[in-house]
Amino acid sequence: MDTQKLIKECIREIPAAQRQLYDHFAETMLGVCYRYTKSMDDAEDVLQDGFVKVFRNLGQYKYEGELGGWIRRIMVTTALNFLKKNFRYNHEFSFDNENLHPVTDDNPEIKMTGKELADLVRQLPIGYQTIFNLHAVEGFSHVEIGKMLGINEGTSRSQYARARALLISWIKKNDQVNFKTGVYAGK
Amino acid sequence: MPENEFEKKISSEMQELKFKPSEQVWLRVEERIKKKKNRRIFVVIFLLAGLALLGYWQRTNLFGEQKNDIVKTVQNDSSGEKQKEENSQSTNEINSSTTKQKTQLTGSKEIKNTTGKTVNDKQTDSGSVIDKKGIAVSKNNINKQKKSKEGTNGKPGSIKTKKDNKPEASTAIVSANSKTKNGVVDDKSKDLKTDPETIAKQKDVNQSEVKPVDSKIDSAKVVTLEQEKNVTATDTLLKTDPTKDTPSQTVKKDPAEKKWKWGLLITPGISSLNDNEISFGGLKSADAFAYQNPVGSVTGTPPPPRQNPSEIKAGFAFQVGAYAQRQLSPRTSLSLGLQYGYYSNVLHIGNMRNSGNTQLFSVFGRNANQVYNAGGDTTKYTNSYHFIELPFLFQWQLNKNKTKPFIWSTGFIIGQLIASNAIMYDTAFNGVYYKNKSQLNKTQFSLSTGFSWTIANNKRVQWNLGPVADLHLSKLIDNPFENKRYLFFVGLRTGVLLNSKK
Repeated sequence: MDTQKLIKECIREIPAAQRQLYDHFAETMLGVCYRYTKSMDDAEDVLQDGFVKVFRNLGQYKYEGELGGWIRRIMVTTALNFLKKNFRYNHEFSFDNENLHPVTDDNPEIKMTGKELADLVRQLPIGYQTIFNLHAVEGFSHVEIGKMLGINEGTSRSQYARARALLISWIKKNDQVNFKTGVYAGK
Repeated sequence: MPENEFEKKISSEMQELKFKPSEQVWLRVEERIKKKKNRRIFVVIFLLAGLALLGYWQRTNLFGEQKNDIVKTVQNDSSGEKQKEENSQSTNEINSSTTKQKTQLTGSKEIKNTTGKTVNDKQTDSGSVIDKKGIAVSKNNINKQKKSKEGTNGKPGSIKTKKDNKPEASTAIVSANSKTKNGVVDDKSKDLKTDPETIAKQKDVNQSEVKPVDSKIDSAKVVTLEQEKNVTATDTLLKTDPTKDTPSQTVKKDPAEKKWKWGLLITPGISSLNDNEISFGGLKSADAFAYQNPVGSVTGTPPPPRQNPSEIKAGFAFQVGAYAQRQLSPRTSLSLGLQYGYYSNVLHIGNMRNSGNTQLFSVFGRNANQVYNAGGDTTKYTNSYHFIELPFLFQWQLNKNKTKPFIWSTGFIIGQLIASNAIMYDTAFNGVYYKNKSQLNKTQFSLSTGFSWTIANNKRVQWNLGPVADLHLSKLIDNPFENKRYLFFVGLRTGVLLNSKK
């Protein structure tokens, strides 16, 4: 696929090119959206919004860095907006200024697949889930996360530490998690 | 960034996560993209309609009350019968009296005209026209005074009595003193000219950036962050080191955008003169009434019909120049320029009159070598106007595409007429055209508006193309025998903007 040509055709709003671009990235991007939401329907809603933004703003892509990375950023931002706007999430999507929680050095062996891990992360409270995804998966720093979510850097660190600790505890109790249904059966 | 194996493992597993979306997702995306496209068309139509309304409003409010002095005078003239009587003596009679007048007027330094003002015997090029206008406007007074002065042939006043009733031609003859080429009327007739008090109010343009409905996604920031990191998605895993967090996530503005950019433009198009309405050609009914009806006779011999001013048709025009553009905000910019403007319009007129005619010389002086009969269709004459102009334009980007912006520009242009070969209508000799630069308003103030699409954009240059329209607010021709004329230009602007080096 000639990415440059495809982008130009998408900017010229050629339907076939737009469809080709969508087909190329849709599956990966749905994976991104899936990690930030609690259901596949919500993930598809985010994916839909995200691709509309991609096509509208494709003219601003400057061919610096991979197109996939650029689209991923849009999907992440769209997902965050979705969480803030959607009632199912926004009442949980608040962050208290908690004291800094030390990051544990505990590194358990992980034998789960990506889907299983994603399902486990989705069991976290929405705030933990979001910060964990942003930091551990996307690679954003806590400063960046703080700016994106409008919280302090310390709050981000604390939330991440709690999320990490919770996940590790769940992974250790691997036998208590039903990965087929994605429902945590611990405690 | 992930600082240990746990984060690395999580990240590598999660990055590979893929799900096949349902077909409904694409259908909804496709539908929303199409809607956006349709909405854009409506916005453009709305803007064009708004522009047209604005133009109409400006024309109506700024020029709606301006009327030609001559049209008013002729229509309101209560002494039409007297005038007809005098007019019936026709041009030949006037010509014969001209010879007498020359001898009678010789030696007189000053001539009192019928309005009680003093006609100075000075030599100027433009005097005859001003003289004619002054008398034409004060026609009612002239007619009243004429009665008391009848029968006093041989005196300067009696000569003027004839002129009173055929103001345009006879006045010209008054000015044609035998010792002078032209006379100057030192009266206040100029005050009767209706100078247009045009105050163009520039509306404040909202320069704030227009954000999409879903503006919370800051795409610019996304791009900037991407540039700063300059890594692929997988590379980001390695950078997730909380100890190296840097507060460098603010959007950096490109300093090159704030600099002046230079460009060249050429705008071929057409121009014409219009009076109260934006039109290309066509004589207004008021003109036809004014020039055809008043001439008549009660003595039995109908005079030759006076010819109307010819229909003005659009002619070729172009603008070429250079400009400097400065970005004010991401979507607005200001441009200043210097350009040469060539404008023309076409007249279909009659034959050229014999330049050796002493009567022509006495009326038009040194302009007598190029006098055409009005009416007829034997000569196609192109009035050309050469301007040096300074455009000041405000530009507003209507779309969000940075590489190929669609821009609406509006502003004003100050122009100075540097040369022209335009001919003017005069009612003398039953309607003629002749050259008279004094009737041209040399300093012009005009409104300009247009759209431009960037058709090609690379690192060095940006090519843009779009329609542009200039509407002159200053009257170009101030001829007492015609409606005031304003220049109007429409063209297709092609510009090249040099992108500044980063």
